[in-house]
Amino acid sequence: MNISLLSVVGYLVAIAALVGLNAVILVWLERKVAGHMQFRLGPMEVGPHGILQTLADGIKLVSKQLVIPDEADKPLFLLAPIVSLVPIFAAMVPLPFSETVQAWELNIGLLLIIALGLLNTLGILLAGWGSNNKYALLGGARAVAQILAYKIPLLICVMTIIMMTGSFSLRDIAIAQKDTWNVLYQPILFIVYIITVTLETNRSPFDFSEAESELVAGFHTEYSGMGFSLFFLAEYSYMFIAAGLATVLFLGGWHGPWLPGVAWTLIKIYSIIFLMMWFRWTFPRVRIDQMLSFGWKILLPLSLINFIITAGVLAL
Amino acid sequence: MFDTVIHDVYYLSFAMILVLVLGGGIIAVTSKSLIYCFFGLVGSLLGVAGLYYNLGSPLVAVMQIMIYIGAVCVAIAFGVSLTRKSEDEGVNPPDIKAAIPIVLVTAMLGSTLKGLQGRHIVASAHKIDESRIGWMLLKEYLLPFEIISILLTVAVLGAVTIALINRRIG
Repeated sequence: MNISLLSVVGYLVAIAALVGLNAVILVWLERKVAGHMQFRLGPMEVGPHGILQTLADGIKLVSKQLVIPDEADKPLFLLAPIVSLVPIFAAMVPLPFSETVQAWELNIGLLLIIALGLLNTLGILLAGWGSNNKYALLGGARAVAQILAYKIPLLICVMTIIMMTGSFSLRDIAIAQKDTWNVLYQPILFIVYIITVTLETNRSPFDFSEAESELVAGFHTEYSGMGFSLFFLAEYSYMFIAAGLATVLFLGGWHGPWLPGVAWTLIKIYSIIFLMMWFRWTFPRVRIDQMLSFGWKILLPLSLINFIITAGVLAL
Repeated sequence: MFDTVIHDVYYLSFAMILVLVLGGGIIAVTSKSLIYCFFGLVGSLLGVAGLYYNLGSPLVAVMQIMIYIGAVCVAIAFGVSLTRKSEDEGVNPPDIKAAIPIVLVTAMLGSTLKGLQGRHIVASAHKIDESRIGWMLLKEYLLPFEIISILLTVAVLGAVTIALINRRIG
């Protein structure tokens, strides 16, 4: 392996900066989107249009004491936010931002991202168990219960795209869409993908493991200060990765007229994130049993039928 | 200079993986709390994935994470969250019977190491093309591959049948 140590360190720093900056922007954006959708203004005080609000909140969260409940399982409780944050750094590595901007071109990059996405659920389960709180435990148990219902349709979606391109490499998949984006061939698959990643990133209307109206705050009920903010850092980073994957798989990656590739990638990623925020503030939360039967009875057959038809068309 | 640093990093990562595999394994076997056993197992399997990566096969490493952590461990977590055993009761502490598999495994590993002693083992430096694995599974070894999938289907059907019978009785 001839990767120089400097580039490894450089990309690590860049990814860490991206994770932090992305969370700062997304928290602000989420509050702004929520505000405007409810005919409010959202944060306006700190900085122009409240753009520095998240920074102020961040400083407050960092300076807060980390409260550990007496009855909590201390090692698991402290490990949980770390377990959900750490895989992100590895999952960002194979994500291509343009033809040249990519931390590491890995020929199985897509698989790596999907596999590391699974670890987030373990972080939630750890938090749920470690908190020794019944709401947290219910949130953790729900996270485990829903994983199979969305992961299988998601994997079939990804398989279909891999079958069309013949490569696991995200770069190859983006290059293959130079002329026509996959979303034009696979509109149903795109919808299935967006629904499943909304589930995967625990976003409303599918945020069962938090579910404020049912479980207080779900798995992070007992977390305060940095523990809480690490979970949020992880959630917003997973949103970024999921939207980045959608960009590469369906929206042609960095391809687009006039603007440079990185700009197009970021525009597409943040449009998808905006779409997910739009969902959150317009759809009411569904019940977990409705979601499970929706996952098993509609998403799975839909993606399977789509897979078989695609295979048939490709074979012809 | 960077080469030596990378060399050191490699050994450091190997040591960390070793700690993860062995530590996780020990936690998984000895802990009284079911959830600790579970996360010990997860840590150990993650460590094994790291080992595969260090051996130069990222595909196997990723598949290890996907299959063993994504599927097997999630299924176990399912099981854990469905058990009714109260927490204070815990699982039975390991007794003398638990020593039997330890002795057997140690003997097996020991004899393997003894057999390998003195032989010069060369790690294959050339990269294996991942697509070849796919070709082999779907061309040369199609029949065993399909038989395994039939076995899994039978297992799933069996589980559903058992669940249905229990539900009718209950």
